Amino acid sequence: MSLSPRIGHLSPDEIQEFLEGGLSARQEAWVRGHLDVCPRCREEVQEWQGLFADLGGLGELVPREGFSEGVLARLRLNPSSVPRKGWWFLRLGPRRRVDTHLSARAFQEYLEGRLGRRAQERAEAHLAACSPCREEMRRWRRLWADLADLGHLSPSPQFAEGVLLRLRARSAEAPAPAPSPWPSIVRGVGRAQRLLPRSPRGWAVAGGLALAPALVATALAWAVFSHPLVSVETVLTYLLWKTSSALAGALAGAGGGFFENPLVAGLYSLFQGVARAPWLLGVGSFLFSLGCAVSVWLLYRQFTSPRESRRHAHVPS
Amino acid sequence: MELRHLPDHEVASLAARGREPAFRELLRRYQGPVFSLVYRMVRDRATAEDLAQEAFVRAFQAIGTFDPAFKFSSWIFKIAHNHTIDHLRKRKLDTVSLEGSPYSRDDEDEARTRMEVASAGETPEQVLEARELGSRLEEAIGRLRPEYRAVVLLRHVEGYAYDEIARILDLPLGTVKTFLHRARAQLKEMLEGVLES
Repeated sequence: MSLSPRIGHLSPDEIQEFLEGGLSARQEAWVRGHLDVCPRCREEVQEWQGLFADLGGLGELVPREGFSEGVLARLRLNPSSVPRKGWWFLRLGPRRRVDTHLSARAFQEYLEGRLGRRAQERAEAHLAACSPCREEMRRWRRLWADLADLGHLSPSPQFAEGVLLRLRARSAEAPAPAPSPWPSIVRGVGRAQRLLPRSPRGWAVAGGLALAPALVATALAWAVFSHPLVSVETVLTYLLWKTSSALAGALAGAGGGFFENPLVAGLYSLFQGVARAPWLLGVGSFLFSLGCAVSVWLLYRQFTSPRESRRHAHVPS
Repeated sequence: MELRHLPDHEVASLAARGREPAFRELLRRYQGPVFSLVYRMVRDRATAEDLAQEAFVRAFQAIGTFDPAFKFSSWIFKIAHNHTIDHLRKRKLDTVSLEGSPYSRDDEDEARTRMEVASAGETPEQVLEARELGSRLEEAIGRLRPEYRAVVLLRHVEGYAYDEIARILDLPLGTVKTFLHRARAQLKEMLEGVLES
């Protein structure tokens, strides 16, 4: 309990904590100081002391003779009610129904049809046998019927017009956005922004989609450069030669079949180099498949599971 | 096709395009329910009209952001409830009676703002009984905490399911259940004499 020096009187909680010795030494000293100067709180504390004394003086009531025997006899009649020792799973089993009146919650759940089948059967059996609960149920039903009769209240006939008038006034008040000097650029940026992910999950999907080609590129680079005759320099030379010959071929308008095209031939020989290390190709394919699977899973999660922001409609403040 | 026969989300999308008949149609559909909720929350007709109108204006201004995947009714109730709760917090107006507006300045004003409760009875005795019961019930609802009032009204007047109420009020489902149980238990206690008869 926070109890700091302030102007005012002691609250009931503070007085009770004080009387029960639940305050710290500093708080208690403060309360005592306050009581010295505040007659109203002194009177209040005296009243609480009286209540505490009355409660303390309630004393113990003695049950009638034979009470203990009665309890033991009931225990013999209902052995399942005796707590058993042993492993917890040995104690699992159908729980015994305690034959007490239905609670307020049970009445409401019953009327709402929210009780399970077995609980409803038990409640109905109890209602059939217990007249106070039947009477209580009648009152609950009456409350239900009264609540259902509440109905709607009508606003004044000018209500709708009032809304539209306000709406028009607000629209007129709102300043029109200043025209941009480069509208096409603004539109393009706006469209690009719409393509960007708007949540961490969206970024995860984008990352997942980017992962697969990156993994494939890495695997291919590894396969190519792990060959003993291949180095960065030779690959660049090779690519330059192939590109220039392809361009020369294209410029010369050389015909020929598809496979005689220098660009296709170059790519073919490149893959031949990769194929010389089949296990690396296998690893690359596996990683590609894995990347694709992760991407598909992320996409699936993105579009099927609800996000917090999607569960509720946007509400203007 | 007539607007009257279109579902809410289609009317809302027409409203998002600035069609005034669509706004009117949404108002026709929801002015009663929204006003009733707000009126029973604040217990003052003029304040309730003002708050409900403001809720509609806010909703219509933001209609472009309305997601048709959700119910329009839940959306408008959510806006109206939030706005009303803000108002109650500012005014610290938690409980009032049916005797008249707490803002009334004189007897005439108080009489003018006194709660009107319609009755559904047939004979004069039944009318009187229904009026009395209605008044007692309305008064009892007015004495509930605003959060309890809202859940009871959304459940029993609007007929929303628990999860929908949880969405409208931004509360966990368990809290909605607890609020409902406590609210009804308090109502029952307050109406003990009436329910006995």
